[in-house]
Amino acid sequence: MTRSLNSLSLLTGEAPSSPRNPVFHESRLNNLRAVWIAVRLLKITGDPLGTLERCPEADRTVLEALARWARQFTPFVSLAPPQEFLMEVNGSLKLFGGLEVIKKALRAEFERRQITAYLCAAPTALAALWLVRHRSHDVCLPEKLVGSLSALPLGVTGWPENIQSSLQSMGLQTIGDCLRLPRDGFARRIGRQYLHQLDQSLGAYDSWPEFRSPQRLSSVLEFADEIADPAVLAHAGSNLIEDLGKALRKRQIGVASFDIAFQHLHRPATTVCIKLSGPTQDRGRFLRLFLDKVERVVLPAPVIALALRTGRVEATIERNATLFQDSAQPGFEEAIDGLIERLRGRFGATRIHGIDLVEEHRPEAAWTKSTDLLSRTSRDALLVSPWAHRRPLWILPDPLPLPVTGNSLPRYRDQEPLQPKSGPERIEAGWWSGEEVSRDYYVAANSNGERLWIYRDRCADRNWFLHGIFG
Amino acid sequence: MTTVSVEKLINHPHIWQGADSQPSHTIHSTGFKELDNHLPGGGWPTATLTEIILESYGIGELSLLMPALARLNRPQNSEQAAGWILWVSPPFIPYAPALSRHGIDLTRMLFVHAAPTHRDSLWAMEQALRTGSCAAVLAWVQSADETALRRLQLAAEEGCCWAVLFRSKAALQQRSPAALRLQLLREGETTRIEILKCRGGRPGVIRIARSDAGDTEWW
Repeated sequence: MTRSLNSLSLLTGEAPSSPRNPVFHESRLNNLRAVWIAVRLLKITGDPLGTLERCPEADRTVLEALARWARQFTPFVSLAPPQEFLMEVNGSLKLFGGLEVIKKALRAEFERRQITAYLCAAPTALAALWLVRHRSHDVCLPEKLVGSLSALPLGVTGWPENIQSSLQSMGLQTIGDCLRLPRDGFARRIGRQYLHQLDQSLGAYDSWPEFRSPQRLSSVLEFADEIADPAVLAHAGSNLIEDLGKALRKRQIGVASFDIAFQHLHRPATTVCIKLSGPTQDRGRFLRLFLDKVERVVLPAPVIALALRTGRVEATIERNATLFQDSAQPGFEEAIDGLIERLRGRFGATRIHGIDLVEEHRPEAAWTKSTDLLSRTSRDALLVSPWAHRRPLWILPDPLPLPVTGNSLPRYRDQEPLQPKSGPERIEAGWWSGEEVSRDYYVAANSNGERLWIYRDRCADRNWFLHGIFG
Repeated sequence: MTTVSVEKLINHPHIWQGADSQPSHTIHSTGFKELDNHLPGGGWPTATLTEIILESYGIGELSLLMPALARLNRPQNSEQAAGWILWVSPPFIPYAPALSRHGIDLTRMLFVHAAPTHRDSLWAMEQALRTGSCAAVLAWVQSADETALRRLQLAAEEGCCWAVLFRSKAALQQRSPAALRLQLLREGETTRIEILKCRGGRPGVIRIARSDAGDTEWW
């Protein structure tokens, strides 16, 4: 086994700013010389008819690609996802020959990439953002800023619905209306952060996180000979991951995913993708997930090299390490994090899920799968519907039709008809969404002692169905 | 007649000593008085494997566990972390409104649906037990050999996690290293619980009345 490339090499990008001290652009009211261009992308997936559904990840990729390209005009670009970015071009105006030239170059690039976008320039970033959302004209002079902003409707601010509707119920329609209100009253009734945003748009202060292009790490481990022994490959992969962990730790960064490609001679490589629940530099977690995958990967040919390539590198704050190895007991939440990752790695993300309640009368729609497992906080107050005591602990994914003989109740896994225990409970709902149900539910038992939740469909053929089981 | 010293007798491997049974902190009340009275320590031994054998679903098998699960999942004092409950290959969908009514915190539920094989289900169960990240792991596995069961029992002890395995009647033919082994049957309006094996306790039969299933008043 020989190492062709020693340690991990940097592929692209630059070090991300640490979450402890992000890089901000600062400008002050008394120094209003900044010129911001806000860019709002409308159709950014590149389909000319705009028929494709928007995908946040694809949008983000396009946005980042454009932001990287835009950095030829300015050292400071900031992303405002999902569909906007900002660039501060004051220092570049003279070099490129004025604002119009830069805007023209941007427009030409959008056309080349088949992207529909709007541009707007203003002395502050937030003002530029709000103006571009309303497709307004550029505001070049700071003294005209208040006048231009005042005419904008409240919708451009992107404030939450309830804030906007409460402002509208007070008769405030534009940003100008808000600016005319007494400051302390506005802060008290609406919220201090919204007052801050108004100040920010007028240039009281201006701070925006800088965009830095994402960074990836990669490394290749070449073998002197072709290797087919899975144990040797697992060991070699573990070495790569060990190095990755060290490199990440040295730079205080983490990754949320990485690929390991098993390269074959004269064949496309076999790649295993490893996804974590969030950016980390924990070697142990990388290794466990890798070994789970490698155990079950089918290699079509012997392997000549292993190549590791990480996803985007992100700044992380790791827990303090303990002095004594044996006391390094992971926290409860971290352990469940690791478990969910491993289960997802083995069974695929769709088979691992949580559940949640939905406020809905139709029994089959009163619950939902939730895939976002960790960010949810446990509720203090129980959200229990008043009918819950009549609901079974098991529900069938699809109601099961039950056979009926004569005029009696239906049968289920039994010769005798079911015995009704209680009911009926009538559920009629869903007509407004075209999924109308009209059913009479009963609790019934068969002679095996199984307690069942059955219903008779009141619509079409008045058939009987099994919907739940009292487990 | 030969005299045998007491010390020799105590160290005799065939003599089982009741004193070193379960430590009391891993016992959780079942919520059913009759069952608590019968089980050693007065509740489910939760850092072990519990095997529940039943022929058909719908005889109160889940509601039997609900009081204990709710307590594990929603601890009384604030120092304890809320426990996660993992469900591995349940036969139907656990119904959220009913779980919520039993006091279960739905945000701490995790489901592995349709694991492709029994081995996968056992693997998931063992991993969850060993990491100690869950308070309870419920699994529906039809075939598991004695080695697999022993691994689960050891993993449950290691991770201090309650493993509950639901199995069909065929499992009665098999030896089991589980600390507690029950068979559930339906008898009229009661659920009949046959304790087949109970570490530190004795076998027996208990009947508990069903409280669910809407027999109680309706409106």
